[in-house]
Amino acid sequence: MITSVVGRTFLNAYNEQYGKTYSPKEFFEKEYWQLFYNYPKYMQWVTNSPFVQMRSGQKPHLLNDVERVEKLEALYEKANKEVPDASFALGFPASESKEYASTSGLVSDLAIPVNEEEVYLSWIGSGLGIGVAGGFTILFDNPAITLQTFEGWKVYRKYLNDPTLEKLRGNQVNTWNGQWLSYSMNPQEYDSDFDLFELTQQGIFKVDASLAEVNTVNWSQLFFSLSQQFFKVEMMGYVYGFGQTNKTIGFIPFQFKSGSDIKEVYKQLFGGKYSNPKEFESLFGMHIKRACELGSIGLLALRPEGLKKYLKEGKNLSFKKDEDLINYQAYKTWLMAMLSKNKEEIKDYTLELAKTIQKYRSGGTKLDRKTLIEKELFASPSKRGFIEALTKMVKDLEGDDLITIKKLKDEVHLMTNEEYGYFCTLLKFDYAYVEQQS
Amino acid sequence: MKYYVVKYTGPFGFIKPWTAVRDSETFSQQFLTPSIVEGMEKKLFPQLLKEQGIKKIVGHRLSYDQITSQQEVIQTRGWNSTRKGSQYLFDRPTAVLIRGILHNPVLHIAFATLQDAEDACTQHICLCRNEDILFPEEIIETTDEQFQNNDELFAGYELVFERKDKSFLVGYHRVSQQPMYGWIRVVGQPVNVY
Repeated sequence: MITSVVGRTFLNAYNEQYGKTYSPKEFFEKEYWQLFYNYPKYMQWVTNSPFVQMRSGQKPHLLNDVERVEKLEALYEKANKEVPDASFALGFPASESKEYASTSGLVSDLAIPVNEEEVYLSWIGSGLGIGVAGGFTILFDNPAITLQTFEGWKVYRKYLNDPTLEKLRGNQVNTWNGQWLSYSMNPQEYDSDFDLFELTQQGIFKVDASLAEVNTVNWSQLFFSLSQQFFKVEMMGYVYGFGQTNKTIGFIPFQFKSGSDIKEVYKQLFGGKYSNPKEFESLFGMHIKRACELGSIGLLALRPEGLKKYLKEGKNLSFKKDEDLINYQAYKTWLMAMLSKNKEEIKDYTLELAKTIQKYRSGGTKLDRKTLIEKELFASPSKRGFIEALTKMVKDLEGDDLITIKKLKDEVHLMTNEEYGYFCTLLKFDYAYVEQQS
Repeated sequence: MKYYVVKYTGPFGFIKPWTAVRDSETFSQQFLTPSIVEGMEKKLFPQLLKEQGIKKIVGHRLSYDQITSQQEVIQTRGWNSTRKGSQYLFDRPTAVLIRGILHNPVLHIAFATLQDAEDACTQHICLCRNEDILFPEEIIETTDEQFQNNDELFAGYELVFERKDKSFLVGYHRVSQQPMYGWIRVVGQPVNVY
């Protein structure tokens, strides 16, 4: 299964990096089991696996050394003798010794060749899964990413064993991987001297009076971090979820270039770096499932969740709330990135237009111009309504403004419906921004 | 080199990812694997049934509007039996699955000769499930270079069947049971969602 494939990629990279010649079983025993299962708090909970099946009276956190080795040997026994099934080979189908389970219709009738090695590799691969919000996990078949994830395992183990962190719950290795990669692969945030306080500040741990646990990271945050390491790269990710039943999204291309594009657009629009990257970047990205429905994870999938309600409706930003300004910047950045997809230069053209429209509105004394702009121009779902509203404006305009609006009319006419939607929304935001400034 | 491309369209398509087992939720794969292409070829040209490997299809491109999730009832792969006194009860339990379906898939299949394309253009095909039929629409005459690069005409995903750095395991061949590898070529905008 795919977990074994990624496990193999990692093991090869690991052997090379550390000058070892571990076989999958050796690595499993010397590193994986030691880190994951040879302590009172486990790092990973695999339902029905030998590590969680207890004899009466046994509790995972009360096992002694001998009992832990017994559990390991139970796994060896199974891996050696039995046909791999989900209880000890991760990502494999559940066994069907007595009767067909209700979801068995999805299991292929192909006899896929598997050997003992694949069983251990499947554990290693599953431990490398990167958990993101929405209940999904991502696997990248990439040596650098898997090695970095492995580094994180040791950190997670250190905190699990920390006596002052008694409340920190275990079994969250995949969630941890997501946070660890987003943090450690982001050179702007990462500080090799980090401590628990720093990690809590970063939002990686959630600590309160009764419980401490690892927060789940948003895929977009992981995406922005990885895009700093792999800019201009398109990488296949495998998106899945293991649990009582599995979920398979499958292979999805991740276009890391879009992450750097967004940063570039921001820089050109607002100059410099954004003041609060975490807050800014967290605005981007739709639900991971919706994103995958788009076929690939790139610019389109990064659409800010909050932007949706402004695209189709007449609503506009008010700039009365503090967060409206950062929302405006994020929305504008994304819309500009979408509109300038194929063009090299990015010009803040809509802001100039918005100023012209604002000037037109303030030139009137009654509310009819305001109504025309807000209820007709920006509220129009189609190009036609937009152009009609512009035509109404033309009779009251002269000089440069008239030329600007006429030019706008011609340009909108040539846009595709998709472009128009983005353009109109962008203009609407800029208008609200200019209104607020005046 | 000249290519003769047959365009197939239909309302739905579904390709099960090989890794999907015991799922409550499964998306559709968005590319064809070597054994799927081989199966299609054998459906279109039954005279090749006895031969192994892909002989006539030189490329494909799959695009669609969006993946839509649909809830379906699925059944176990066989009958379960329980004994009731002296009688047996046979049943097939059901489960609910959320399945991602390719909406309005468009498949371009490229052939090296016009004759092959004309033969293919008289028949329907299925991506994987035999209830999701795609019908031929037209034959487009083009070159291999065009087919690989024209992102207006031939937008879509294509799995290129070769092993290199960015290749990944896409499943096991139905007949030979050998692992199959490939990498994805993305041409233009393969998903036409707004």
